[in-house]
Amino acid sequence: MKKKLLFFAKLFAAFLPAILLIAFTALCPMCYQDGEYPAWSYTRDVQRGKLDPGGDNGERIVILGDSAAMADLVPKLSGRNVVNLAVGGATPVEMYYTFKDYLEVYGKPDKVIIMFSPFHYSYMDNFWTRSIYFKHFSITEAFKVYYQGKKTGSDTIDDGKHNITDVISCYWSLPQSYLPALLNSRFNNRYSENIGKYREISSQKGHGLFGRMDGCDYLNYESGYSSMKMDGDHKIIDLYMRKILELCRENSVNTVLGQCPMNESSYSELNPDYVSQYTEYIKELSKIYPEGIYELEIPKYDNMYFGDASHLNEKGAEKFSREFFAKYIPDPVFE
Amino acid sequence: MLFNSLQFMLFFPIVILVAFAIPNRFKYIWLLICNYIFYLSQDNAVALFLVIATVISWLSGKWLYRITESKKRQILTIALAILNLTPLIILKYSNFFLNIAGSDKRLDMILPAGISFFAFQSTTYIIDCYRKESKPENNLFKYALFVSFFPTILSGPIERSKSFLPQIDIYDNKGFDPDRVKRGLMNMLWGYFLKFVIADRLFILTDNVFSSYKDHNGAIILIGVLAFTIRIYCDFAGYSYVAIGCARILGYDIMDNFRQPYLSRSIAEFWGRWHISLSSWFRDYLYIPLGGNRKGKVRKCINLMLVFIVSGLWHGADLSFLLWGLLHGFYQVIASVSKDLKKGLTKEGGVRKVLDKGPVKKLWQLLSYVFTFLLVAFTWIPFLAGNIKDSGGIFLGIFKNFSPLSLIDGSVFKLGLGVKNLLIVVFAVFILFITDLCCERKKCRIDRLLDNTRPLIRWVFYYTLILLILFSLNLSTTEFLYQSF
Repeated sequence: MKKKLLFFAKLFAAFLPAILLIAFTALCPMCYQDGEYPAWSYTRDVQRGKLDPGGDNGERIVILGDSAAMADLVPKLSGRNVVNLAVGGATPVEMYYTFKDYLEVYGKPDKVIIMFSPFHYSYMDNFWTRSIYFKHFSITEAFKVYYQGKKTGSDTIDDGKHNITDVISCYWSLPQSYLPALLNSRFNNRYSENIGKYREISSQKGHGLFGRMDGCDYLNYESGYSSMKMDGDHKIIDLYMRKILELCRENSVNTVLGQCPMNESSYSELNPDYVSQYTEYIKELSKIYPEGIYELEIPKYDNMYFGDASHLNEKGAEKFSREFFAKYIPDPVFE
Repeated sequence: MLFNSLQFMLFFPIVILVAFAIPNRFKYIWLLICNYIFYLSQDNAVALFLVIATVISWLSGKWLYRITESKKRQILTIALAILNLTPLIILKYSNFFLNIAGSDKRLDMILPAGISFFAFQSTTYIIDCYRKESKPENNLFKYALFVSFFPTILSGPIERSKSFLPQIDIYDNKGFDPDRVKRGLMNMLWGYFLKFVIADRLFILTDNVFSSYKDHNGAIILIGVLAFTIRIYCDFAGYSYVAIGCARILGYDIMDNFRQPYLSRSIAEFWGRWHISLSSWFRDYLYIPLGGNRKGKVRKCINLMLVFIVSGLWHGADLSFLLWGLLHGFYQVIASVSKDLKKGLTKEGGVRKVLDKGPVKKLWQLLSYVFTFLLVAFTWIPFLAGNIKDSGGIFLGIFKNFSPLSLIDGSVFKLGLGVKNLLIVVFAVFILFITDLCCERKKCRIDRLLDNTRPLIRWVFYYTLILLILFSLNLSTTEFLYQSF
């Protein structure tokens, strides 16, 4: 018995460096994660009730979406209790679980604004590099999404390079997944930068800019598409989009499905077939869930309002937010 | 499921935990289940070939043991061995033979993982039963455990039935024995060090050099060849050490596959230290039955060439592997002929007297090590190129535009590794060299060597290895090289 105990003590001692590394990886993500992490961390902290989004107990409005929604909608300009839970690279898959958690923690909001770039209805390109890597889901949710993705034939989830053990590796904070970030950050070089960003995003109630250019005429992803991709990723995205709308219906939450603006350059390059297929898709959703408000037109903004190809700059975000909020959550200040 | 995958890191602890928890008499059934889970995770579509090889060889063994007539037994053994090897021959070599015949047609066939290993292992059993060196196993499941044993099924060592099968019924070492587990873990740690820290880093360098070897000068190609020489050793020996470690923890002793091969002073010695399970297989089941060295010098040379041709083709169905085998066969023939010549010289001129003197002897030994290493390294060229055309290109590339300046002007840092990783790999190769030297001097394996080392040195060694492995985990995306054979 003594021999066995001694063996296990030695084994523990031998693997102590590995144990410490895993513990550090799990407990101090702000020290080494990249610049996108603070936004995802903010959303997760709010949705799980670890961070109070602030505001009174009156009317509550939640924004769900991707980086465009995060950059384009500035909650503070609404004059209402709005929290922007959108994050860069998110699709309806991530936002469904965000909204579900939010409902469990805070109860039903008065309005939900859903806003994704059109290409995020066809591609979930950040599933492995953001959603799983940043542990956005709980582990059971991650497994569920993974198997649903395989079932629906998602090209991103079932990409031939990743599998279920990559999910486990991330959720157990194993060095395989985080070593490049740990080494590149020299373990804690990113802490102050990440904390700074987190505080900034918290103070902006989830809003954060992406591009910082004072005008941009670069073309966005959508301008390169000739048709809307309806297989692979789209199937799981559509499944979760419907789940979000279903949740809104079940909880009698007013829903607005908005459209992010595009810069003039990209807008002029849009393929009419792509636009009509995309509009058809939104129309189809509006037929199944007619209680919501659906925007079908993609707004066109001058290039000067863009910080990069897909995101508004500060000037643009202010203009768009004022217009959007005035239309859908009118406030005496704007009227 | 690769040894360097997370699936395996999750799979193996479950295997050992259950194996230690269940009664001894059921352990082989549990391990058999694990073997098939392991194999199915690798190649579920073709697991049928494994089942077929198992059943054919098991029935063959029983049948052969019953037949008494010697001629009939001999013919039947050859027929059954060929039948057992038929899937391997068809699946692996059809396209090669079509190519040789000048046909452009290519058959689209899946090669079951590890078929070269389990086909040889099961054929061994048939021959051992014929030779009455192994008693036929009555229990099909115990036999299936031998053929499909997960630590060895994909890349060896090619285990012998006569040493493995009796171990299934020995229960004393199947429980949790701290010493045995410790030795197993030491082997695994060393194997992972070789794979993760050295082989995977050198993969980046060699991939960079040989994917566009025409763009590099001779000195860089030479570095690539030397790096590949170390990489293939670390990759394959790494796999073998992990396999030996896993087996040991589970209570099975399997044969060594490597014994410091680059510390050889001749090609013959190299083959006694490199992929021992395969080279001894060829010796016992091909070279000796062909007559070995018993039928005269010419026949010995022919037999040697034949063995190395088959060995080359075993590694891959391409002319480049054949060339690799031919070269090694040629070296062996030259060595065999020169041995006789050397004997004559030492008798007549007394050269031996000079060579045996202190400093000259040491210098001669050192030159022998270096010469053998370089010969082996250059012979890897067709192996690494994978086709004859590139083999020639790489070989000639070394001599064309050879610029030694590129060794010191920082060009080596631009081969994908960078300064940090290159320094790590140099340090790791230094550890490997020292460890191999120590194992060679003490004539023991790494686990025994560490056991006899002072605790402080041992623990420094453990931590160095563990830390190096931890900081190399993200590099490990490559398969083990020998998995494709």
